Amino acid sequence: MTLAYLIAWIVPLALGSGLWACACGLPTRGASWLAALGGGFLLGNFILALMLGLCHGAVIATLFGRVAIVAATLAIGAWFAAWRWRRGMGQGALYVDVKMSRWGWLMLVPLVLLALRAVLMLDEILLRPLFPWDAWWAWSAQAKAWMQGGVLDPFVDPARWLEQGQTVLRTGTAYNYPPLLASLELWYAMGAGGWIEPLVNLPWFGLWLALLSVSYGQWRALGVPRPHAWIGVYALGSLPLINVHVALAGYADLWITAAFACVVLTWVRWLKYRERGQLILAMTFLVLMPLVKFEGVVWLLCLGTLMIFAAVPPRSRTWGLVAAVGASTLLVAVSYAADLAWLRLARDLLSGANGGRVASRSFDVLRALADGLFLQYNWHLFWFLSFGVIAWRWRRLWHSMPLRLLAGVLALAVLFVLCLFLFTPAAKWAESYTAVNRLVLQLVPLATTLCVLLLRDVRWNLSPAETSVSAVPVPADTGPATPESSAAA
Amino acid sequence: MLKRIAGGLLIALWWLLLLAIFCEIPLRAPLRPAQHRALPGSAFDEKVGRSHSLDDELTIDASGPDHSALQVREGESINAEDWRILRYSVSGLPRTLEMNLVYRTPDHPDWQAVSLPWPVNGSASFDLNRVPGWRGEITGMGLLEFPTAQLVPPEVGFRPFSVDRIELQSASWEGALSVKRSDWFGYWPWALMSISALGPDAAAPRGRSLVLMLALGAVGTIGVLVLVFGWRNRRLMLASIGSAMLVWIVLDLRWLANLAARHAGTRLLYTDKSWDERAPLVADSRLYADALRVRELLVDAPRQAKVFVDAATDYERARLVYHLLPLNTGPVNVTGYGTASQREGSYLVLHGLKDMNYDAQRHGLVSLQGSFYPVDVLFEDGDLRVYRFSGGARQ
Repeated sequence: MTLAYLIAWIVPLALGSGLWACACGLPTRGASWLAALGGGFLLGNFILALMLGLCHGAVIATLFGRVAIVAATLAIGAWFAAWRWRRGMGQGALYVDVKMSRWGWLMLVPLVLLALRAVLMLDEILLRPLFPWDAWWAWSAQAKAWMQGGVLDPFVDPARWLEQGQTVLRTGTAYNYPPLLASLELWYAMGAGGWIEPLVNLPWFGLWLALLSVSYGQWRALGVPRPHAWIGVYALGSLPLINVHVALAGYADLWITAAFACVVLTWVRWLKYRERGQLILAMTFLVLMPLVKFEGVVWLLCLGTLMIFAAVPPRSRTWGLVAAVGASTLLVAVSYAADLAWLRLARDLLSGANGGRVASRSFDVLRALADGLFLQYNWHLFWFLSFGVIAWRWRRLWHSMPLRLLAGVLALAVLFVLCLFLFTPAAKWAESYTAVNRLVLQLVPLATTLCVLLLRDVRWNLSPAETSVSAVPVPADTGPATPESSAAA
Repeated sequence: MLKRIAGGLLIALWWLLLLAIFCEIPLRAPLRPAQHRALPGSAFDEKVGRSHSLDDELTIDASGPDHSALQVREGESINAEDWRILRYSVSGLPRTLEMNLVYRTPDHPDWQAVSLPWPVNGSASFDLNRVPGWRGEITGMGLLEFPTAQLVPPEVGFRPFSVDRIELQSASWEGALSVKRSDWFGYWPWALMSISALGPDAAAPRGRSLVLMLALGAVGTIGVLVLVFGWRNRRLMLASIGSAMLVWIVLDLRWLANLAARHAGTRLLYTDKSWDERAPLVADSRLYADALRVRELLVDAPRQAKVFVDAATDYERARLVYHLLPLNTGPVNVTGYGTASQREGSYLVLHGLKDMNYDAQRHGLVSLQGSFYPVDVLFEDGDLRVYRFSGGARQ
């Protein structure tokens, strides 16, 4: 591992976590550090990829140094700003600490199991050349062309590629895919000093750690006791299909999954504590999702609609709903007018132009969906337990606005998945199991957060007297965070 | 006390019932197979590859020219319906090889292959009922091994191993349980499908799901605790959480074992090698090598020179495009061939494509549809052909 490769890891982490600290306040305890580092890893990588995306035509040989200097300067500035102006701010959060019982050592079991798979996944990534199909077909093809070609050439549609003159234009099967992930791979390739696939893929392992860290940190801030958060982290980190996406790195699904998780985790903190910084982060991740993968637009519409709905005062909810639907319609209309790629892809998908076919029988699609969720080896008991927890704790769900909203997002997303596979030519990819689980993967952190929050006050080994609550000083803009106010959430 | 015994019995019965259903235990069959027929490895003859017999074992020393090895036994017929379970023992089979059952019938004299579970700890069992063609008279059977498709570079996948014993058994409880053990706790190598679904990524036919059995088992157990023992509130909650965690950990340990086995296969191929040594070790290593030849050939081509790429399959075309980078490639299924002026001076790389043939007299390529493309030949070697476009197309 070279110094440049180390820098390639440190710069986005420092930049993203610095911006996170700027938005939410300087971390003051372990959990808030984990949230800042986990969320910051994702944010920093996205920002770096966006910076690279602005450098069309740049020469690769000098690009890494220039971008690294700019990003490092921004990172230092962000951390200085957080230290200078945001110290002691933010985290209007409620950390519930419980004394471990004599069975507390059992918490080591999930930790050991997570560590075991971490070693296996890490070594798998470091040994294996790029493996999964879409990775080398879409994102890695672009990054490799840039890295080995030495110039950040634009990827264009085939008609323009055929017409090219002296300026190098490139094309490919996935020329119209969002380029964020390809730029990200280019960043790590530049750090590695060449197209070394295991080093290009290593950030997927970092992403897994980041997803678990930010989930733990944000859950703790939302009043989830340590054992509950631990179990939630273990549940999320042990899901086989997530492990596969880490070990066989290269797909975009895990990145959009993590972005979705960050939107949900920051949004729910804003709903509970009204921390403006969390809302800014939620909006940032929300806007970034379509740049990772096209289905990000759908999640943006689902989440955005409910975020607007939730942001307006209760007496104006009708207007809020109208505004949300209006904003969604406007987004689609603008996309249509600008002939944006995601809408073209959606049109092709709905018309069957890209090779799908409508289900001959709805039952086959539903069976394929049920197979994927309940029978195959993708999710352990995750979906059994998720539905079970929602059924068991429905009263709590009903009486909490933030949880109702989370459940609403989940319901909308599940409805989208069902409609997509039942009524469009995408049915083909449900029946062949090639798409259904990867789409569901993106909803898993949302469902996990919902379940963890629903189970937050379940105490299986303690009397209430053994529970202590600590609230970090609250910034002026967040309103008081007291046990009473948070209990309502 | 009676309630406790009744409750305990109910729970045990529930689990036994589930085990019988999910393991597809033939209830009318005996506990142990009534008939079995064991064949030592040496009873099989090599058809492809090189082997030798040592005592009862058949040691496979080398693979054939296509990197596979085939051992068969012919000359006697068996009735497929008499034999439900195939049990096979091998020693030293590397995780880079996939094992298949081959058989033939009078109606289908060509060998038919069915993927088998990889023999963990040297042996595995397979339910022949899952093979649609295993019906009526079987005139020959054997084992076929080849480097795991989509995963292992063919030229490095083979390592010597021994076939110790192959056994056919009639239906029995013991056989059904051993089939399930191979299915649920066997080693399933990585496949392209793994990124989308675990379970369907296995080449061999699979049986009923362990996940569902354990979930139903836990629900039934909790049901008995509620209905018979009257557990409510905190006790019920603790039992539910405890059983969910227990089942989760069982499933996770199973997955971890599988992940470790998959990773052991990866280590076998790539460990102690530098990146330069590992990069060519891909499942399509021949395509990779061909792409390197093209890159060397076109090393002096201008950066903006278009390189049209076509191959026999979508997979090969996409892989070839990836391996050819950083050449300015365009997959023909996306770009087409453009107009004569657009492609003039550009390159065309064809791999394994049979519907574009070079006409030496007309100095051009003729497609099956009758299109003609004037080209200069730069390179032709078997499946790999490279041309430079020199003019327009004529129908």
